Amino acid sequence: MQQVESHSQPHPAEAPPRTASGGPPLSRSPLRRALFRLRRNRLAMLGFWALVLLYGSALFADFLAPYHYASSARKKAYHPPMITWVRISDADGLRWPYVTNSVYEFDVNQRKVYRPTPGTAYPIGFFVKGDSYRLLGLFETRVHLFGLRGLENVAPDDPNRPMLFLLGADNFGRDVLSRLLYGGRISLSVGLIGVAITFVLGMLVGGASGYFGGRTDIAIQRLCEMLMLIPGFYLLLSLRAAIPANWSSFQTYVAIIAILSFIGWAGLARTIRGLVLSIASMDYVTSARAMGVPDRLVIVRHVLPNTLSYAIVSATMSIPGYILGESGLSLLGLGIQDPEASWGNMLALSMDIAQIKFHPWILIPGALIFVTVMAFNYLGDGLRDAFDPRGVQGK
Amino acid sequence: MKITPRLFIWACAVALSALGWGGMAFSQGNSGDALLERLKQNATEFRYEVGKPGGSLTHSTISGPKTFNLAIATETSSTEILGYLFEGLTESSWLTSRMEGNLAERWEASEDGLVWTFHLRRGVKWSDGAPFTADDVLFTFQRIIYNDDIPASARPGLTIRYLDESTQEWQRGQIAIAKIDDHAVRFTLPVPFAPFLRTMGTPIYPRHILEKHVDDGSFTSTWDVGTDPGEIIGTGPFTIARYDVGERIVLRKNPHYWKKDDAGNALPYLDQVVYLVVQDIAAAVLKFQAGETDILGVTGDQYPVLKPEEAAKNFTLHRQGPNFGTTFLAFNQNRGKNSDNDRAFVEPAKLKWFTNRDFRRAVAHSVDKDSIIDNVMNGLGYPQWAAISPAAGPFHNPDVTQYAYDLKHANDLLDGLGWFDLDGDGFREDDEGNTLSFTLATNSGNDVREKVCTLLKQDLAKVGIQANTRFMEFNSLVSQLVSTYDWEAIVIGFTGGVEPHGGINLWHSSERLHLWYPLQETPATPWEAAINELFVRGSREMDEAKRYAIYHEFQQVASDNLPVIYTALAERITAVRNHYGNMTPTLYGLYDVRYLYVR
Repeated sequence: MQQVESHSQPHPAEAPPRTASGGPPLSRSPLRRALFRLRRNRLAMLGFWALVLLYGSALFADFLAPYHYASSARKKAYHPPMITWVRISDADGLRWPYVTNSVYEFDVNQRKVYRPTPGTAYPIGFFVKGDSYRLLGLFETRVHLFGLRGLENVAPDDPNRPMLFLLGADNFGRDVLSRLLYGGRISLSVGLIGVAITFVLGMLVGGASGYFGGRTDIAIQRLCEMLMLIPGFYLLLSLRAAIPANWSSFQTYVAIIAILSFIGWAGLARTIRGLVLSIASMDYVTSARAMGVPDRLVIVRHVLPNTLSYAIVSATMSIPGYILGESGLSLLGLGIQDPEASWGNMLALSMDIAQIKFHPWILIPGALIFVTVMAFNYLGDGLRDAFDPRGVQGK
Repeated sequence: MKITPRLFIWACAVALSALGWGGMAFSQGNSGDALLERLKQNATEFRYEVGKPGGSLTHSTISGPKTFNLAIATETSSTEILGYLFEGLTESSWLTSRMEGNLAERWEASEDGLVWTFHLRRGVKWSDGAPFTADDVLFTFQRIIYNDDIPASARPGLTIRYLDESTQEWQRGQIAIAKIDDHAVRFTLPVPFAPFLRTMGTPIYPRHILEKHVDDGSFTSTWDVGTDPGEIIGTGPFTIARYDVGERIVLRKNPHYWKKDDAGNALPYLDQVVYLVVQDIAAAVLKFQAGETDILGVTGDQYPVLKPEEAAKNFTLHRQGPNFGTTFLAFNQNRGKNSDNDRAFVEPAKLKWFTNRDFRRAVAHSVDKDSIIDNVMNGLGYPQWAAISPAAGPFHNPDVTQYAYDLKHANDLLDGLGWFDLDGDGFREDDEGNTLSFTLATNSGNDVREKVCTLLKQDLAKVGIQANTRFMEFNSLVSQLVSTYDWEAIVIGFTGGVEPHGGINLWHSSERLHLWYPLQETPATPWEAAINELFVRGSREMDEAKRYAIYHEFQQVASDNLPVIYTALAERITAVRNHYGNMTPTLYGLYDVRYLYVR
């Protein structure tokens, strides 16, 4: 970030900013001014906090989720959300919130209908013991934020054991809320890691291409064009087909990120090259070269930092593409494999209209993808406005 | 819909996944038997009404025909359409599944069951007006079915396998056919063959059209989908009026059709039968709901969607008992080697597990059939234990060994093999320290099979076996099964029929579709030898009751040795508009399309 400040002065885009009433004080550095403007953008901040919430809950998924993602009660497939099932009173008056167990039967239309089992009551408790996990990968614990109490006499593998399905259950009787939280880990991190890889690749290749020009430029640009020629989704599918079946889910996950990044970098490299072409002709670059600074250093210290504001905006805006890419693959059954959860493979259930009609809660992962994508877009928009007071640079 | 004697055709397995099928509530216990009784009663009480001509019946199909040449067609998308155009000497009744005369009016058999004389129906014409004669029958058998240059799909079913008493060697024999006169032919069998009458349902082709193509060697490329549909000539009740690829197939009433109803009116009653090509099952359901189609195969999942609309949209959901099609898990027990690189098809360590009967039993005890039925088939299915579906009536053996869902017992069996989890990764290791881990494959896009795989994976993990699921494209899956043999475990399905002999493709150890170890010269295990012998005996036994006993014994041997582990059978459910007459659900069908009419 130091570089942005020290070298942005000669850049025309960073010429004296607008001094609208209430605008940022001119004495501050450009970065601070940008942050100041960002903070005043309500939509962008809304997006930002939504993302903090989403990423935070994904980070602590194992603690926040009442169950492990694979934890199931088979006789509870498509159990409706229990938000409306929570009772706070019984024959004796008020009680701590509790839910009852339930069993299904098929109605005349062969629809599964769950009915509460009379006489059963399982209070909802906080900091209850459940499936064991390693919190933040550090220490092992069984404490979850909330869950059901009173399960001492219930066998853990009972196919009809009482479970708390605040947002309903999926087709194997697994808690949708827990799977959403765990799925967020994969769906959300794919974007961050993927974008990080793409940007390192795209900026280095694009920077080199624009800076050196000539044959290097032609060779690199033709390579980029060849990559961009192939329709993205089909390239994605064919690369996915190359992954062996016996890879573990973690290996598949890494491979999917690698594939997504591999497809994404060419476009960025081209834009960066364009930016670098103009920056490379700036006086300060010429002087740096005249002073004998090695090319490598000129690119890394003087040229690339001036593309950063564009890069940050563009990165933010392209994260949703990765999230959607992973979801798309998983939706088609090519991404994260069951029982591991990702929002995409959870959404695959709703490819069947009949299921949506009777079990609308299986669409929740779609809503979360929507919220995430919107949040990134608002934040990205805000960042662009913030970095780009006159709207000339970076677009 | 006519039921033709279907053999185990690969493509049918796809069709099963593509077309709708549902089942009945296992949880309702006895009502399953009640339903079977009702279906049988429907069949006995049914009488044809005299209908009125006109109207049409519109189906939906996921894929249109790939060829118009029925003799070499294997996929149901083609055979279903062409079934309207061609007929055999006999046909299976949709009411009783008994074989009745079709192009043959009557027949007699010699005492020893070796010589059969068929008297052909007089006055039958091809749809171009040419007369149908014994020459067409001879042409079909001698020039097409038994022609080694033509990959006729009917040939395996018409090849009789028998043990030559003098040399003690297995022989494959053909049926000899001779013309007596223009309207009589004689078939001579090498040995008695019980399914003979059923195999005589094989379609007969027009000699006056096709002979020149057989002569010049162009038969296999004749009648492809590019052919003008008017040139496809059959004796059947319909002809193809037009085929718009990817859109629709229109079948029009054959004016020369021979069959008349009781009042002497020409059949069929319907003017046309239409097949709309749709994108997927969801689109098929939407078309039916919108009233664009008249008939729809329904899955368990769709049943609750359609059931409440029955009255408003003027249709009825007919439940027709368990399907013939099976879904099962098989392990690769191929002991052979790839001759190209001398590598074993199955890793030796894995082969050791797969060929171990206790290992397979442990897996069988880990199959949660109740969950498959309730969660995957929406409660509309039957658990399957025997190799022959209950739909096959007396051939089905209800008393085979059953492997209840019991993970504790499965664990005990694996403990008994001395395979324990020693390194604490949650999965057992065998004697040599190899983790019990294999790839469990099925074809992608088949919802039932994918979910069965996922359930299995969960349960196997609980007994310390790691199954890595892999959902592959159907054709690459099939090529693993029938040519490269490098699969480990698979969930797949076969279609079946009333005649158990059709299962010989899967069960005889010398067959190509003997999945777990195909094309064996001599059976690798005593029980495979026993099954081979039972199948051959079953095909030679002419006494029905004795045949039942033979096939019951076969099912017992199969269930004891578990080369395939069955899951659940879905029930066949069909939704049809109410304005059709001459229709009733039976175990074997819903109507005879020739008698179907619009009220």
